Amino acid sequence: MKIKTFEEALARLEVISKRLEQEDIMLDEAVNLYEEGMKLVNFCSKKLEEAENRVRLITGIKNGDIESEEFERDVE
Amino acid sequence: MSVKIYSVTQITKLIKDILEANFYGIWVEGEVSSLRYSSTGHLYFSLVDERASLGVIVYKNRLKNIRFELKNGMKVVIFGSLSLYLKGGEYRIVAEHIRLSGAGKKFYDLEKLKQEFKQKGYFDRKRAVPPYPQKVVVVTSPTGAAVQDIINIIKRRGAGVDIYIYPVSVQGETAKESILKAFREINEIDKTDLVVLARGGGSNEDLWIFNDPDIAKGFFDVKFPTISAIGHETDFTLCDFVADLRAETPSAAAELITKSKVEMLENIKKFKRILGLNMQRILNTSKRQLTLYSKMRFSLRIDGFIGNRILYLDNLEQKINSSVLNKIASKNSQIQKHFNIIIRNSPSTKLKTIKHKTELFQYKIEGKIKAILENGKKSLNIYSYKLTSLNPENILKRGYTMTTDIQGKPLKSVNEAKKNSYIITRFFDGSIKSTLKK
Repeated sequence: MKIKTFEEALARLEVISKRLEQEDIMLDEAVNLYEEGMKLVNFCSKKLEEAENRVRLITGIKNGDIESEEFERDVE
Repeated sequence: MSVKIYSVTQITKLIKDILEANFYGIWVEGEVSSLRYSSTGHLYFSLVDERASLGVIVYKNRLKNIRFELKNGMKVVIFGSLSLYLKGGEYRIVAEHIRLSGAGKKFYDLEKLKQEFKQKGYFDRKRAVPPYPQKVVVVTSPTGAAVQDIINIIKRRGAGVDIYIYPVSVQGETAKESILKAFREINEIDKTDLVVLARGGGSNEDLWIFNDPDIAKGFFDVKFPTISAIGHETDFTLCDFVADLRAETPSAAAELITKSKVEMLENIKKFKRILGLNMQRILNTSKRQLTLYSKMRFSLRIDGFIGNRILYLDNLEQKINSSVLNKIASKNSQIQKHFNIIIRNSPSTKLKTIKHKTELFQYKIEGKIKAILENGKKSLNIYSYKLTSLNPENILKRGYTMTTDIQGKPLKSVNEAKKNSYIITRFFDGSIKSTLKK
């Protein structure tokens, strides 16, 4: 399964965590799930940190893209 | 020549009929003057403008329809019907509703607009607002309090949201066109997670533009999910109703945008911890099992093999312990290789099978030996009994005798006895030697 969205990743992490908590899990399955889980954690963290609290002022819209400049009004 | 002469009553009744039939359910605007309550509790005042005056009566049971305190000099709009009082010969308007002038009409119009919008379904289309928006366009005044509130909260929370301010003017003559243009242009953007329409607190008049049907429709037509954040908690505008989500204030909107994100970061950390802890536990269990199996020492070769695997597991455990969880995930191919080897050879599985087989074998062997011993014991008893009962001595005791030749060889038949030879007859307590005569 190819995880594309943040929500999908979260849902999958939920499943993996539950499975890892069960007693009957075999080592090979656990290792695979652990690896997959850590990849998802990284994916989610990255997604969340992609945006960086920037505040921009829109100066125009061109070809579907926002043109912007630094929003000058200072925040102390 | 006859002239029609009316009585006072007749003419006044005629005027009354004409007045009341023609001026029923009308709106009249003017200024309040000569306000007074009668002893019976009805309210009387005059509605005046520059050149005329109109008497007003509000009956006691209608006073509750007035939602504000009437004062002389106030400009109001009255809804009611004209009525002529025969005895006094005066006409008045009997008021059903009184509203503040301007606002009165505006509220009335707004109510009608709300009905219309609701009927068209503009209030009921609520799209899902993304819980973790990354890119948010805020339509607001770049110099207003709203933008400041939003920026402050988002900066403080550090939640990783990029804010794009679409600058508009939110009051004055240019406001409407400026906001409509913003909506049109935003619809040309390929991707944004959210559009927020924000305006800080202000008077009713200040916020009134957000009741404009064109602006509300324009906001409704924005192709991205929308949040309205206009004025204070108590202010509801048409834009609030068509938005996918209404925030009580611009600050509340900023909280909404960042809240789930802050929680999510926590959540992700929690998942990471759970993964690590469980993996650690599973590794520990596996290691314990391997150690246990190695103690059984089926063979030195397997023992050494397990020892190696334990080293691998120790290795991995150390890496997890030193909390390079991330590294493990990213640089996992190395570890994965080790694991693949372990799993492919799967000593635990093999050992389990071997152990099981051995146990089975042991059980079978034990069972067999036991059975053999049991049988042996039984046979021995029988033999011993037989041996006992077959002992010739015992037979002799019962009154039998045994005859042998001189060498002690038993004579089983008369034919074996030869004439003139010696025979020996054995009793249980002795024997007699005799000579055969015939």
